[in-house]
Formats: sequence, C-alpha cells, structure tokens
Amino acid sequence: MKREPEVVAAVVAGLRRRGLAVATEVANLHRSADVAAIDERGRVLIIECKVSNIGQAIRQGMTHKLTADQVFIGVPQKNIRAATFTRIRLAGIGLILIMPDGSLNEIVHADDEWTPWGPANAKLKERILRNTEC
Amino acid sequence: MLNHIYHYNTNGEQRFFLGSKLHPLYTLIAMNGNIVSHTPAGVAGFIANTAKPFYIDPQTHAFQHATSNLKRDVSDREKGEPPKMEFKPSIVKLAERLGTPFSSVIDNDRPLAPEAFIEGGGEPNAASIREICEKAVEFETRILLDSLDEEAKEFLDEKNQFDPALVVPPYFYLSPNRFKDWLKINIAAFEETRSIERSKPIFFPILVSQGTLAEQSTEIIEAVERVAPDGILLWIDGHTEETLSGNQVELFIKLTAGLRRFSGDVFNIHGGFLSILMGHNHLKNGLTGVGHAVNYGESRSIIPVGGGIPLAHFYFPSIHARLRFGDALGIMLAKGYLKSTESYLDNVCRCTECNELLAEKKGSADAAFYVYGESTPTRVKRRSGSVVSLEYPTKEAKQAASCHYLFNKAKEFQDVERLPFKQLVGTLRESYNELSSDVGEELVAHLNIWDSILNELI
Repeated sequence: MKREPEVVAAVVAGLRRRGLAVATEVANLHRSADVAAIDERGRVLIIECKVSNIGQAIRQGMTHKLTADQVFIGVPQKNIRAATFTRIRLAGIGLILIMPDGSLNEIVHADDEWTPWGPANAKLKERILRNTEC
Repeated sequence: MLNHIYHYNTNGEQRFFLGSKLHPLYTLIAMNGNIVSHTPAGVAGFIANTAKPFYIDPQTHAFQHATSNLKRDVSDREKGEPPKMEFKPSIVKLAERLGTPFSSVIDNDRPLAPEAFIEGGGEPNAASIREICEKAVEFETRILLDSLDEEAKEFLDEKNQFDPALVVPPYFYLSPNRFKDWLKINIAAFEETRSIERSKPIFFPILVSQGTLAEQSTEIIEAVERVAPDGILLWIDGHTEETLSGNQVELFIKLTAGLRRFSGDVFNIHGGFLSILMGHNHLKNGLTGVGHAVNYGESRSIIPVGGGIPLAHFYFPSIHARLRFGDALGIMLAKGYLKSTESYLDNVCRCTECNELLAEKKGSADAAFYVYGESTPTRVKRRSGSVVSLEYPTKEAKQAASCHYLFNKAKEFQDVERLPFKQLVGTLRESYNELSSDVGEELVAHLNIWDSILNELI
C-alpha cells in the first residue's frame, strides 16, 4: 500500500463493514477531510489518510478536532517512532493502522472528551449524509 | 494624519469603498494600472462616486519579470486539455498604453532587461527614459478623463476630480542581480518625470526584496537623499509583518526613518499593524501612509503580477492578523469567547459588523461568528486527475469578513491618532500574555517581537 488513495479505500471499506455512514473528501473549515463518517451513536469521525508526512496530518487533524467528535490518522502498518506516537497522543488524535489483510487496527485511542463546535458539527453531518447518499 | 490607503484591485470590490458606513474609513485609493487601462470608463465612474483622492500605479515593473507571470491558463481543465498560456488582456492593454518597450514584451514574449534603457557607457539613455516617462504621465493623468464622453465632460467640476493626487514615475524592481542598474534607471525616470509634470507631487517607488534591503539599505537611502522626492511608495516583496524576525523589524524601522529624513511622505503600500504603529506621531521619522486591500494585501509578493483568489480570513483584532477561520475558531473555543455576547464583545470585537450580526442572531455569539465561516464545498479537479473537495466562503461570509476587517483597520488608524504610543505598544504584550499559553506561540509570536523592539522607541 504505497499511495494515499489505497489507504483511503481501505479505511472506507473498514468503516462500512462496521455499518457506518462514510463519505470521502468532505469539506470542513476550508480543508478537505479524506474520510468522514457518522458512527452508531451519531458522532462524527474524521480520518486523515497518509503514507508519509504524519506531521502534516496532525496539523490538519487539529483543525478537524474543532468540528468532529473524534479525529484519527490512518496509515499502512509500519514502524512508527516513539516521538511520533507522543505527538499524536498530545494532540488528542487517534491512530489507525491498516493491516495487510485490510482490517483496521486502532492503536491510539482518539480523545473524545470535548464537545465539538455545534454549528460546524451539524454542517459536517449534513455533508457526510449528502455525500453518502451519492 | 496617517494616510489610510485602499488598493482597488477588482471592479467587484467597489461596494467596499462606497456607502455611508464604509466610505469614511479610508483617505486615498491606489489603482493598479492594468485594471485602469482595461476598464477606464468603469473606473472613472467609480472614482466619481467615491470623490476621494487616488493615484494610478503604472506597474512598469511587471514587464521585467518572466512573462509567465503575466499570463493566464485558458485551457479547459475539465476536458483535460494541456495548459495553454496567454497574456492577460489587462496586461496587454496596459502595455499598449505605456508603449515601447513595454509593448515589445508582449510582441516578443521576452521580459525587459536594464539594457532596454542603458547606453553602452552604463548610463541611462535619456531619450528612452524620456519616452517612457511621457507615456506614464499621460497614462496616469489622462486615461480617466479621456474615457468620458463629451456630455460627461461638460459636467466636470472646476477642480478635475480625475486628476491623480500624485504621479508615479515608471519604476522597476531592484532585483538583487542588477540592483545598481535598476536603481540608476529608477532615479533617471524619477528626475525626468519631475521635469515633465510640475504641478503634482511625484513619488519615488522603491520595490525591493528583504534580502536586498538588508544589504543595500544605505545605498537606497542615499538615492532618496539625492532625488529628494515629495514622497516614497515603499513595497517590500512578501513583507508579512507577522513573520518578521526581530532583526527584520529593526531593519524596517531604520529604513523607514532613513527614508523619511529626505522625503516628505513615506507610504508603505502593503503594510499591517506594525506599519500603522510606525505612523504614530511619537516617532520622529515614521510612516505617513499605510496601504492594504479589502481583507488582503497587507503584504504582497511582487510576482505573480495580480491575480489569485483571496480566501476569506477572520481578522482577529487583538492579534492584528488575519487568521484562517479554523484557527480563529480554535482560539474562541479555547478561551470561551463564544459563551456569551458580552464575552465576545469584551474579548474579540465590537465593530459595527459584529454588533449587527449579534443583533441579527438575537445575541447568539455562536451563530453570529458562524456567519464569518459559512462556506460551500467545491470539488476541484487537479491536473493529476484527482478530485478534492475544498470549502469556499459564501458571498455573505466574504462580505461580512471584509466589512469586519475594514472596520477594524479603520479603528487601528484612529487609535494611532488618539492613543499614546506607549499604551498601544502595551496592548501587544497584554494580548500576547492573554493568548500564548492557550493557543501556542505560532499565531501570536509577532506580538512579543513587535513589543520588544517598539518598547525601545518609547
């Protein structure tokens, strides 16, 4: 898995298997979220997919945190440095590894103890549902 | 009084210069030569409506850069066509008005070099300098008047409102590579223009990179001492005040003071709050004018020449910077500024636009602030074929963000006129202390840098 579209496809498939409403390339606060989903509790999840440059994903994730209930970075299974783990945890962002068999392995839990900003969270849900129907 | 300059870059921006609330906020209009030459009658109508002083920038420097900077892609991306570059129509019109050698740049698709104006001995050629100066003066002083029909001319006041407040000679970017040659040409063009146009102030443009400024500021100040202009139009390439180091801020202050010793006016035509502070009368040799556009243009790169779609940003008054909506929202949520109307008014903004939005949204700070971030997703196809979805601000969000910006800029100019320098500098430290621990250094570090340097001037 060497390209981001492959990572996106794997994440979308994994979330759909769990029964979530999933959309890709969803606009959010002047950025684009690679994958956005609504879970069974009605919470909005955003997953930024990367094969490299996790630092950039953390910065993007910080913006998405303002409007989503949980934010993750999705990367193909690989060795990740301890310092990177620390940065991800400090940012309150989760980390999902895409395993060789396509399954998703959540190895860092995403913070979910804050309330996203209501007006933008509602808009995001609306966009996910609209894109999902398409 | 510190001149508050608005850059007029597109005809779509006219509404921000007019109307009872916005019209009183600025004092001088800077017009780009390409838009004036492209739609002279429309610009004349606009100037008549504003009844404000203006000047026209002949943008002669545009023709010394790689011609790709003067072109636009007219291919159909949706159909996957390869890029097809053509000169922008407004640039073609400007070149026609300015004559040779500018029109030759379009004809030959090659940029101007100093050799176009310099003789074998290394000195400017008097005839070619005379020719470009005559054309530039004619362009700046006649184009709007000539665009009027005979009937409209009959109704002109005795004082011609289409007369520019100042004249800008032909000028060129003082590129690091050919600094001395371009400086000689600029000086010659200034002196020639002064001999042609004797009834209006002639301003000496200085268009320079930060690197050249660091190395050549003495030479630039000596040139200004020699020509003793009525005023200076200073434009430092990509001079974003929020990203300057302490040394760069010091250099900027020293340069300004040096220029002002030999020039009645010094306008920083792309400046932010640091420049506005440098217009405080506490400073002996400060700026006398600062310019920006409608919610952008506090700094500007020399190339590309014009173009680009400015995105709506929210001007955060206590940070004196335009922030991405997401960054501004992050601060609001971290500090709890959206919890109530009072909290918003006390900590964020009391401008006319914010007050009107709060009233319209029945006191909900959340709902009022969200107006600035309203957007619509647009799917953009990249050349690679991939499609991404980006949010573009709605027309209403752009309008609100622009008015909020202009009200706040006007307040900054007013504060510099009425508040002591020490008090204004003190607010930089207060804002830094209030925000840095919660939002991090990245967005507010400039307040600390400005405070530490400006404190030495108190």
